Amino acid sequence: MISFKLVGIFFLTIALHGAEIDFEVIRITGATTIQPILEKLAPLYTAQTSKKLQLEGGGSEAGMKKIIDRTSAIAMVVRNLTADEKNRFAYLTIGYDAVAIIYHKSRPIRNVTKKELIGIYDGTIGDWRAFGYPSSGLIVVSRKVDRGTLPIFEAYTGLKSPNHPNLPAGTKLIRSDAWEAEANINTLLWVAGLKESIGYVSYGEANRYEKMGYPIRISALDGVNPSEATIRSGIYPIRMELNFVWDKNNPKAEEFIRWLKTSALEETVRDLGFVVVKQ
Amino acid sequence: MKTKRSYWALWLPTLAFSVVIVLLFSVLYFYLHHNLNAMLETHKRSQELTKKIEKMVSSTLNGAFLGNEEKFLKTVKLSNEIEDDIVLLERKNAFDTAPLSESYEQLYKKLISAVSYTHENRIEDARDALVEVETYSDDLEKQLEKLNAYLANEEKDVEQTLFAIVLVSGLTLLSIALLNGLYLIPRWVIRPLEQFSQALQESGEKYRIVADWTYDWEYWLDEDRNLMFVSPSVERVTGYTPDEFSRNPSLLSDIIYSDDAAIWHHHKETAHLPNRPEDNAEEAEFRIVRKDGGIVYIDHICRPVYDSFGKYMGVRVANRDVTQKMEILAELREKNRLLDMLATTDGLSGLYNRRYFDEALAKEVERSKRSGMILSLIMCDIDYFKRYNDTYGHQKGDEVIKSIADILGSTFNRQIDVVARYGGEEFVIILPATPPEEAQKLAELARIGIVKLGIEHTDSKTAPCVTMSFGIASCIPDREANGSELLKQSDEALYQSKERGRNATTLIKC
Repeated sequence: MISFKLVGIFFLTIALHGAEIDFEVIRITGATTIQPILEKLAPLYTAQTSKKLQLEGGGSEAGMKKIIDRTSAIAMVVRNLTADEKNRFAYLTIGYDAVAIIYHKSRPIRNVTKKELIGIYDGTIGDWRAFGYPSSGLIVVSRKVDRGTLPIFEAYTGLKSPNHPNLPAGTKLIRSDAWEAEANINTLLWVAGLKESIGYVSYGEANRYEKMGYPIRISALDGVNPSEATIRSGIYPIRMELNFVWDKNNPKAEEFIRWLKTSALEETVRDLGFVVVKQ
Repeated sequence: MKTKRSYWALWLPTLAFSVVIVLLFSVLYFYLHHNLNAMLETHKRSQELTKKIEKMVSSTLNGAFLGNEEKFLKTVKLSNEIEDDIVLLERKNAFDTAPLSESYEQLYKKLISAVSYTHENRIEDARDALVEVETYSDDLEKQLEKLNAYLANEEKDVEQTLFAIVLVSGLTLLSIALLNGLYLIPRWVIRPLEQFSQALQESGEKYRIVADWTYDWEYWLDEDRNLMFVSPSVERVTGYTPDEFSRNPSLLSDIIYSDDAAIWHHHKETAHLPNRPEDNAEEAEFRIVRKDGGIVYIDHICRPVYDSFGKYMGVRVANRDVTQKMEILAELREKNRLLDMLATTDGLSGLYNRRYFDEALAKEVERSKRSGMILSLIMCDIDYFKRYNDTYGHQKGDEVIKSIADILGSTFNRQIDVVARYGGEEFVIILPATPPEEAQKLAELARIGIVKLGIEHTDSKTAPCVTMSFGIASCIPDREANGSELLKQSDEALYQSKERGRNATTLIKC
């Protein structure tokens, strides 16, 4: 067993080092939900402009921080921007995403109520038996504190991650043993790979992974299935904007956004399972 | 019947018990064997699990290296399989797989974290996550080793149990089979022999009863004429015991009545010689002398005997005591003779009677007709016999008749001559193949003989004594000259003698 790990680490290290060698780059940081959209468009951009995009995850808030401290040109933010943010920064809303509740395809359920969801996440429901499934154990997958999806989920459920600093007393918390995913892929692979797990993830990403054949099920929430129609109309309860945010005085960013608007953005957004906002 | 009942009373529970044992052991064996198979399957899975986890981790890292999301599908599927295997291990064994499951989940968690960090280009975090993966994989490795050791131990236990079951059930069945055999050999082998022997004995007894209780004196000589059997009835017939016959082979020859010794020896030498046995029975009649000196008539029948394969087995003899029968027969013969005599003889004179005469005449006429020989007939009667009876009484008359009969019988004394009393004082004599002169000569001798008797007859006109007149007729009979003609002629001749003064003989040839 030891051998594969050493080999693995060795290859991984080479791969990561290789990725750092770059020259003319536009650094884009933030929500991994949006990242695939840019990954699709990036080769075309490089071909047309001889510039390279350096895409980095880290979550919406990390993205916001990086445009403030100018370590990154553009932030990928998956949440509704505040009025203050809208004044302070330039932004482009490219579509909507929703928070999809996902679990392994082998689970017997199709729908989760809000109450059940809260029960699962606060630890009241600690077992799949509650849903009539014989196997015990329930791995609850949440998100890291600085991830854009978490606050949306927290806002919907009224629960808070126990890892927030300075939480007021009496705050209802997400169970402390919940696994905290970094990125969407993290949640998706955990849920797909471990049958006992349940998680919440970008609807677009979930949609995309499901289409690739990952054994996950996108649950209806309170009886509403997430779809372009239910998300656009707002019937599906947890919806968030997909935003690019940048400093108004950053020409590199402006230039990229201009290019982006001319690109096959809408198709890509749709292809990746998100709900398009007409530009 | 008793034997059968006791057999089943003993063996039905034993049989039922052995069936139950076999069934129980079989069920147990197959259950454990099935379990063992399941264990081996589990063990195989557990061993494959290590490989699967190795494969999953390497495949995941490969996917992370390539940055290809679709590569992780393999990871996910392998992980699902690994989870299923762990669940299966948990179900099939008492072994607590919770720590195993926990270790695996943590390994997977960290592995995916590493993937996630890699995806976000967070090299240090990915490396840290991989270090944790290593820790959990070590832990998992230990868990799996423990599981494998546990499974191997379990397998060994089950194998030993299986061996014990096979051994115990085998020994049980073997002992049942042995016991059964010990019981059944006497029942199935010895008992039939006993039954056969008993049947044989019964059969022997039956035949002995048949043989011993025969009324006749029976015996059996083998092919070498040794006495094989003699029935006890021999003692009744001979006065000698069977034992005496057994000890003395020549006893039978010794007690043969001397007059019949020839018959016996002839029979013995000719009947059923051993080298040419014949099927037909042969008989002999002889007498023996009983031990007490009495004479016994024996009706002897012997016949050769053969066994069921056709082998000659000697001679079987039945000697029947027919003494009583023979005595009755002798008496009967005598009575018959007397009856015969009474039927043909005149009671007073002792000569043939009229009935015999009639038959004899008819026969002689026929004989003469065939041979052409002359036949003579003499008819005679006592002169003045009525007067004699009147003078001397009938008793004296009867004496005269007797005396005259004696004279006639002695005169006409040839075997073929027939002298008969024809009526009261009339007599007739048939003289076959006798010429008339010869007949007359004989008649004359008789007439003189009577005169010579000199029986006083004072009332006779012929002589002072009893005299007789004779009429002789002779002829060769043919159609005309038959018996009645001869009688008629002789009567005529007698008449002529009377006419001539009586005490005379007259011959008529016809």
